[in-house]
Amino acid sequence: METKKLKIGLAGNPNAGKSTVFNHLTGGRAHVGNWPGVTVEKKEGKFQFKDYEVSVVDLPGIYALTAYSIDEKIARDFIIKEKPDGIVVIVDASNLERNLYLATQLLELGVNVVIDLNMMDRVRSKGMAIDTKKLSQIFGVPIVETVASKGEGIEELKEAIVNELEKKRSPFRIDYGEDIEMVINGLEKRVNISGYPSRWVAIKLLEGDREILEIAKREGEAIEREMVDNKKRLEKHLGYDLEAALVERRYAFLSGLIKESVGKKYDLIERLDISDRIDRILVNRYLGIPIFLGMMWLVFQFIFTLGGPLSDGIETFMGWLGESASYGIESLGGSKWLSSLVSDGIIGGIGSVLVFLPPIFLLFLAIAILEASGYMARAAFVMDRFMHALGLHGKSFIPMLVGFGCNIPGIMAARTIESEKDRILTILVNPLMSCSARLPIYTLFAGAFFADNQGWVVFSLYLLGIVLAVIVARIFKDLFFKSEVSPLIMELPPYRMPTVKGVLIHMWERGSLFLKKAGTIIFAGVVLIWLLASLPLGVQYASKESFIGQIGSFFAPLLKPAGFGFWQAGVALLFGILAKEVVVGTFGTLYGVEEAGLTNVIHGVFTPLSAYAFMVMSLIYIPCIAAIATIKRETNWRWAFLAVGYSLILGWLMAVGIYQVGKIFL
Amino acid sequence: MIPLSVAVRGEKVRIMRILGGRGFVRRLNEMGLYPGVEIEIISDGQAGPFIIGLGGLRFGIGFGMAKKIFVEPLG
Repeated sequence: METKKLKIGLAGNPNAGKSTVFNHLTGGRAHVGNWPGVTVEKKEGKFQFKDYEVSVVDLPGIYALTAYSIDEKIARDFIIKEKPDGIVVIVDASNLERNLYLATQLLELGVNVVIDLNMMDRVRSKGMAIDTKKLSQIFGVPIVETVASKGEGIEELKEAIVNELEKKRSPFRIDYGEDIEMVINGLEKRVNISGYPSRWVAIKLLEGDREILEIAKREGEAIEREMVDNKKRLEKHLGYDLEAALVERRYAFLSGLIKESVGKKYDLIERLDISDRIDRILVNRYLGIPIFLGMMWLVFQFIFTLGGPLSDGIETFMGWLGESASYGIESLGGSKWLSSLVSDGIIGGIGSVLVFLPPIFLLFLAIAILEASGYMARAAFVMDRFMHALGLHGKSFIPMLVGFGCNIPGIMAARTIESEKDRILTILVNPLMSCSARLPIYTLFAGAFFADNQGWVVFSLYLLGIVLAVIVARIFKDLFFKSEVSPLIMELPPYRMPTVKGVLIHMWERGSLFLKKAGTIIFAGVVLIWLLASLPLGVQYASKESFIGQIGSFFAPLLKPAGFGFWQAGVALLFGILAKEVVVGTFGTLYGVEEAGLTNVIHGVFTPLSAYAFMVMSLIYIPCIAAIATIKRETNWRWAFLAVGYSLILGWLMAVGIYQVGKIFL
Repeated sequence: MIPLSVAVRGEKVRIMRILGGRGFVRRLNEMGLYPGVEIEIISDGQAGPFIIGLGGLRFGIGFGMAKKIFVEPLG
């Protein structure tokens, strides 16, 4: 038999268990990408059932279908433009009233819907009894009960998707009351937009939906004027805001529905004793921040104490592989150039991608655990006041902190920030956090010139990075995101025990994205720098005559005002774009000394002042290739270019400023 | 009518008005927070961020936001 194809979307409130249902339906195999034009994650998967192949698109967690928030717009566009065969609404059955709101919105739009009453175990343990048949009758749609965390009811859900979705059903309508209905009826007759149910268009017009208004306007300006009049009259009559009235009527409908179909009338404010009590400690005014910092210390330790040795292991292994390869090639009569291409270029390039894998996967593991347990949502509130004072979002703290270990996972950790603008800001300033790769530069120079105050000098650089990040964030906010204020209101899920499977899937989805997308750019960048250092043919690797040496010499005069205007410094900084830890090694190569002898060499070419200026330059100028690639991956080229451009200019200005002002006093 | 920001833990209140931009008010409405709804203060701003209870749901509210939601204490 021929397989029939179906395309469905999964919709639901945040915390309704949508991703768990998605993982069960698709067996956890998802294609992760972005929705067009935005950095909101898009997950697609497939399952086979009977003679059907069903592709499943996971929509963002939403409360309604207005076009105000990006997430809701994405869901709406998907439904309207991609015309899926149906939508499965995942509902947290223990909070029926609020969760069914989204279902009413979809039904008003005339979409084929299957309702999945999820978390039925909680319903049972609360002693609630839901009359699913009755509910199904009133809505006129199939309803399936599941406990997705245990995999219960998934087969039934597949069955309903395949069998019930395409049955014709009578249109669903909510009675908005005489006055409003009259206006809706009038509008319905006047406005007609093809592809949309006319009643829905009328309701959206009343709600002042900008998108629908735009489309309707093409059919005559009169509509808008008429709308304004209608609205004013109705609001006068109702005594309050029409939009709120429409929402209220929908909730009134739901509350009536629940009276009819839910056995036990549960309390209006339900006790969540354990969860509320944990909250009293974890988000307490005095304990909240220390506990949060403690948690972050654990995350940091987890990522870098565990990830460090793993990365070192990979580095050692790739180094050995490179040496063996070049030995092999040369002993087989291959040219030095070829062996260098294979070992320094290709194997080196792959190695520089692989070393990031341990910290990135561990970071996402930690974040997945924090998110699934419910703590992540609280953490945003704990840090909110402090971070707002700095012009950043409550959730920016974790990316910044992780950035001290490595900017790559730091930038990726910004994914947890919902507001696109806050996320971009957080990403742009992240490279100013002194990552661990910059520490060798600091220790070399501070050790050589400021042996007595080494700790303070290094500390001053970390601090400088933070201060600059705050200033830059402020400036960028004013320049690019003027109007945006993202008020913090968020649903706090009850504390839960994370499941191993869910956490691992989440880690894998996000981690593998880095490997696929950023990996290729990093690899290409490493090979390019290798080429510049090896060409023209016959020059010594990274010598003054190589292209990179020539570029270094070309830029040296520009570095002169900062106190280090010699080509070796230029080349070292160029190699630093590859990876900051390479700067020290490059000095070694260029001056032909081992790292131990470097102190003497740099004493000859730097003064304490120019050494400090060089450290400041190393802190600020151009993020490493991996960071640039990750910024591009998480935003787009425009922001990646901005990150490169502003950091280069800022770094140069700071280094020159410090050197020139310092010269006056010293 | 008092701003939510001065309500105390354990107090039950009814939402009367929400100030703010259209998009923001609308978003709160659709989350289930609209005039007439009764909520309980689970944690007030004195002891940390605001947490309010609506049925079995909990919402965290930033301090700035709590000043824009006006409520009427119940009994």
